[in-house]
Amino acid sequence: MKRRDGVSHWLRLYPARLRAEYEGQIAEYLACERTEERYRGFLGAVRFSLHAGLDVVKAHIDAPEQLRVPEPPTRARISFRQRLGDFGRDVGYALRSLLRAPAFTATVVLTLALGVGVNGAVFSLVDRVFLRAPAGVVEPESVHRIYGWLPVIADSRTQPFVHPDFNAAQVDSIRAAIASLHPLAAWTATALDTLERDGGELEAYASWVSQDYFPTLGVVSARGRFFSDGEGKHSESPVAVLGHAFWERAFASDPNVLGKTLVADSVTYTIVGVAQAGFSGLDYDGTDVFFGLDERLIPAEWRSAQIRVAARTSSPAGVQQLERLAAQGLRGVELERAAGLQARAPQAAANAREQGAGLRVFAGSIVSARGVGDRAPDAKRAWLSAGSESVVRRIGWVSLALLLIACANAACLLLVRTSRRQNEIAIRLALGISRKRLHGQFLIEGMLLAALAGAGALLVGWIGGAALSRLLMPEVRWTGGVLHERVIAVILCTSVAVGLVAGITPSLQTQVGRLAISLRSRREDGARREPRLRAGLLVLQAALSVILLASAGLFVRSLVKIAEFLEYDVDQVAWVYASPTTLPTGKVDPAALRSLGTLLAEQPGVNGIALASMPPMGGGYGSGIVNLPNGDSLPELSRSTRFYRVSGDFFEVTGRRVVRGRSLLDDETDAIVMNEFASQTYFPGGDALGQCLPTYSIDAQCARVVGIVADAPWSQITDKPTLQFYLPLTEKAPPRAIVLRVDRRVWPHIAEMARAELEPAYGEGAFEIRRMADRLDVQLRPWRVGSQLFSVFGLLAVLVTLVGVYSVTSFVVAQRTHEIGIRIALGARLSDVLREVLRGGVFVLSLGALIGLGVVVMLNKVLTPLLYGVDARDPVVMAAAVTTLVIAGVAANLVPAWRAARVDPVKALAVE
Amino acid sequence: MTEVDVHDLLPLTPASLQILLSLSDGVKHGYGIKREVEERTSGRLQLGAGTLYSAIQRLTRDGLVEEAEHRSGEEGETARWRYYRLTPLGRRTLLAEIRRLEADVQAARAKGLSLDAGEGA
Repeated sequence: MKRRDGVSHWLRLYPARLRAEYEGQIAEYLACERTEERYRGFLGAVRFSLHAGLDVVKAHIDAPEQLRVPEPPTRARISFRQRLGDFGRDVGYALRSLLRAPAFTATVVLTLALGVGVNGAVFSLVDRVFLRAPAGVVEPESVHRIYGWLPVIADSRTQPFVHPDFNAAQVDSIRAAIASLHPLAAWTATALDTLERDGGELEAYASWVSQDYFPTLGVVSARGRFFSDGEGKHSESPVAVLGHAFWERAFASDPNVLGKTLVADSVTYTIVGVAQAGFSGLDYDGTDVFFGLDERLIPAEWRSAQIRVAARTSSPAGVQQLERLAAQGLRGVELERAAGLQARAPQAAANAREQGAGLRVFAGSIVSARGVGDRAPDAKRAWLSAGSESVVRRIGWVSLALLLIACANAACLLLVRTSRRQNEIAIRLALGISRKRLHGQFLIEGMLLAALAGAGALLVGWIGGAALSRLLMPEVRWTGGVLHERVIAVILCTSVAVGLVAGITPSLQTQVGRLAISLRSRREDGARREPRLRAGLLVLQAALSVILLASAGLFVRSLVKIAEFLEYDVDQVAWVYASPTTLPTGKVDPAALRSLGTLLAEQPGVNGIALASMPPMGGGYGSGIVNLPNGDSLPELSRSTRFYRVSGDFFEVTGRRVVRGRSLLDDETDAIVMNEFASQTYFPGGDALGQCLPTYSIDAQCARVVGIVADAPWSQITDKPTLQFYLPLTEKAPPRAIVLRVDRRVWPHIAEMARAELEPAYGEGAFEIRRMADRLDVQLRPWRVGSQLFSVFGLLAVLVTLVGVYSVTSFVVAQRTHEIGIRIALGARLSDVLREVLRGGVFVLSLGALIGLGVVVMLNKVLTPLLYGVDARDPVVMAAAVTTLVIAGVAANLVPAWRAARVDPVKALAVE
Repeated sequence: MTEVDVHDLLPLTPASLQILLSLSDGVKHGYGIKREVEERTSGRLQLGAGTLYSAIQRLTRDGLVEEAEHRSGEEGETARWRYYRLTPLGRRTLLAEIRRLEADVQAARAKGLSLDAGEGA
C-alpha cells in the first residue's frame, strides 16, 4: 500500500467517471510508472508531475459523448450526477475550444487582466485613502472629525476655505464648549523625528496626542498605561506611548520597555505604555510614537500648530449639537482676536469679526480624505478639489473607463469568435443540444476566461497598486499591504462580472433563434444583427478611448498652464528666510541679512539676489488697505489683498514679468507696483500707471503706481488671482528673506554657506533655506502624476481599442474573401479594395470618436474644476485625441486591408 | 450482438488502435498495455493513465474489449490488476481498421508516393 502514497494525490484529480470504475487500476498504474527509471530523482519527480498533470487534464478533456454513466440507484442521484457529468463535459468542451484558439484566448485574457487589474490597483488606493477606517478604533463611524468652514462671503473674492486643523487656542475653546457632552481627541499630523535612546538613534513617525485621545477612540493599551493629567510635552515628566508595530520592530517586543526613555528634540520622554496591536493613529501614515500633547499650556511653537480634533457621538442629534457647540467655541476665539486687534488695526479687527460670524463647523468622517462629507456640499467641493486625494478619485474614473473598454473589446472578440463558430453551433443545435446547455457553455467559456484574467489581474493589481501609491502619495508611509482582502474581493468580483458579460454576449447572438436554422443561410442571416452589435461595441471602445485621450491631453495642458501661471522661474529661485514661527526671538538683524546677501551674490552660480519681506508664494501680508485715488475704499476686496515688501531687483531675480512701467527702486519710499488683476480691479478700462493711491501702509500721502506685474499665485498654485501690492523695504518694514537666482547645481554649496553664517547666531532650523521647486513639489505632483497616469491610461486604451479594431476588421475581411475575390476577378484595383476595407473601419472609429467628443463636451462642467486654466472643450486637445485614434485606427485597418487586396481571386473563389 | 457493423466504429483513435493491437496477441493489464505500446512504437506513443483508461472504458462500453479472468504465473503480476482481452467484435474491428489503413497505404503507393523516401520528400 505504501507504494501508492506518492501518487494518491494525483489519483484524486482524475475525473469521477474514471475513478468510479478504475480507481484501483489507475493507482496501480501510477505507482508502477513512478518507479520507472526516467522518473527517479528530483528532476524525475518534476517530469512525473508534468506528465501526470497533463494526463489529468487530457482525461478531463477526453469526455466522449457516448460515455453516459447508466446505473440509476435513485432518481435524485442520477439527475445530480448527470448534471455534474454534463458540467464536467461542458468545462472540458470550453477548455478545448479555448485551447484551440490560443491567440484569441491570450488576447482576451490579457485585455481583461489589464482592465480588471488596473481597476484593482486603483481600488487598492481608493480603499486605503477613502474607504478603510483606521484600524483599532472602536465604532469608527461614530467618531467625527471636526472641520472649520469659512464659506464665500457675497461679492468678495475670497475662496471658500476648509480648516482641517486648528491651533491650540481654538482646540482649547472647542474643548471647553463641548467637553462635558462628547469625548474629544486632539492630535497633530505625524512627523518624522529622530529619536535617541540608549543604544543609538532611530527614525520614527511621531504624533503629539491629547490625554483623552486613546479613551475617546476606544483604543486600549497592550502594556502599561496611557497619559494622565498634565503629562504633555512641557510638563515636569513628559511621557510617551509606543505603537505596537514600532514596539515589535524597534524594541524587539521587549517586555521591559516600560520605564525606558526616548529623547526627541532634546526632551526626554519616559515610555509608559504600548498601544493595542493594529492601531497606528488616525492618518494614513502610521504613527510609531505618541507623545503627550497638553494644549492647555499653549507653548509658543503650537501657536500656528496643526492640531486635528475628533469627537465621539453616535446620534444625528448629537452630531448637530457637536457642530453647534464647536462653532460657538471657534467664534469665541475670533471675537477675542478681534478685540485684541481693535486698537492697533481696526480693519483687521473688522475682518476677524466678519470671519468669526461666517465661521461654521462640520462633523466629517474620521477618514480624512472624505473630509466634511455630504453635510456641506460647498465645503466638500472645496475640500476635495485639491491634493493627492483628488487625483486618486480622478484616476478611479479613468480606470473604470479602461475596464469598460477592455470589456467591450473582449465582448467584440467573443462575438467575432461566435460568428466564426456559427457552423459548429448550428450543427450542435441540429444534433439536439438544448439552448440552455449551449448558453451554459458560453457562460462557462466566459467564466474560464474570467478566471484566467482574474489571476492575471491579481498580479497587475498587486504590482500596480504598490506602484500607484508610491507614485501618487510618496510622502505617506502606508500601513498594511496592497492586496487587502477587500481589494482581492473587488478584483475577483469584477472578474466574475466580466466573465458574465463575456459569456452572455455570444448568447445574445444566438437568442434570436436563427442559429437553429439551416447552415446554408448563415452568411446572409448573420449579416444583419451581429455586425451591428459588433460595430456598436467598437464605437463604444473608440468613444471611451477618445475620452481618455482627451483627458490626458487636458491634464498635460493644465500642467503647461500651471507653469505659465506660476510666472516665477521655479527651477532657479531659492531663498533664505527667517520665518516668524521658526525664529525664536522673531527678530532678525537686517544689516546681517544684507551682508549675507552681498556675500552670497558674489558666489559663482548665483545670478542675482533680492531682499524681501517673505519668499515668493509665501502668502504675503493680508493686513493693509489701498484706497482708490479719491479716497474711497473697496472694502469687499480687502480680504484678498496681499502686500509684499521687496527690493528693486525682486522681479528680475524671481522671473516675474513687469508688463508695464518699471520695477521699484531701492531708495524710493512712495512707489508701489501692483499686479494686473489689481490694476483691472481698481481702474477698469483705465490706466493705473502714474496714479497715486492713498494707503496707510506707507509713510507718504499716497503710493504712486510705477509698474504693473503679471498675475501670479500668492500661496497655492490653485489660487485665484488676488490683489497684490509690492512696496519698497523700509526701516519699519525690514527684509526677512534673501531671494536668490541660483544654478541648482551650486545650490547645495550656497545653502551650506548660508547655514554656516546664520546658525551660530540664530540656532539650528531658525531659517528656511530651500529651493522654490522643492516647496512646490507637493503642490505640483497631483498634476504631474495625473498627466503621466492619464497619458499611460490613454495609450493603453488606444492599444486595447486597436487590438479590437484589428481583430474585428481582419475577421470581417476574412469573411468577405469570397466577395473581394469576385471584385478583383471583375477588375477591381488594389486601391479600390483598400479603400473599400478602410472605409468601414474608419467610419466606425470616427463615429466613436465623435461620440467621445460629445461626452467630453457634455462633461465640461464636471471636468473643468478638475483642470487648471484649461477649458474641457479645448479644441487643440480634442483634435489631437481624435487624430491619434484615427491614425492608429487606420494603421490597424491597413494590415487586414492589405491582406484583402492581395487575395488571389482563384483561391478566394474557392473559399466557401 | 453480431448485428453491429464494424464500419460504424471506424476510424479508431490512435490510442484505441494501439490498445486493440496490443491485446491482439493475448491478455494484458493496463500497465502491460502501456509498456507494450511504448516499446513497440519506440516511445512515440505514451499512454498516460487517464488516456489509457478512458480508452479502455470506451472500448469496453462499445464491446470491443472485455475483462478477462485473472491469469496467474507471470512474475510480478498480482491479483490487484484487472486484465483485458479482445472480444470477437474487437478483433473484427481491429482487422477492419488495419484493412482500411492498408487500403490507404496501397492507394498512396499507386499514386507513386515513395514510402521509403525521407519525410521531406
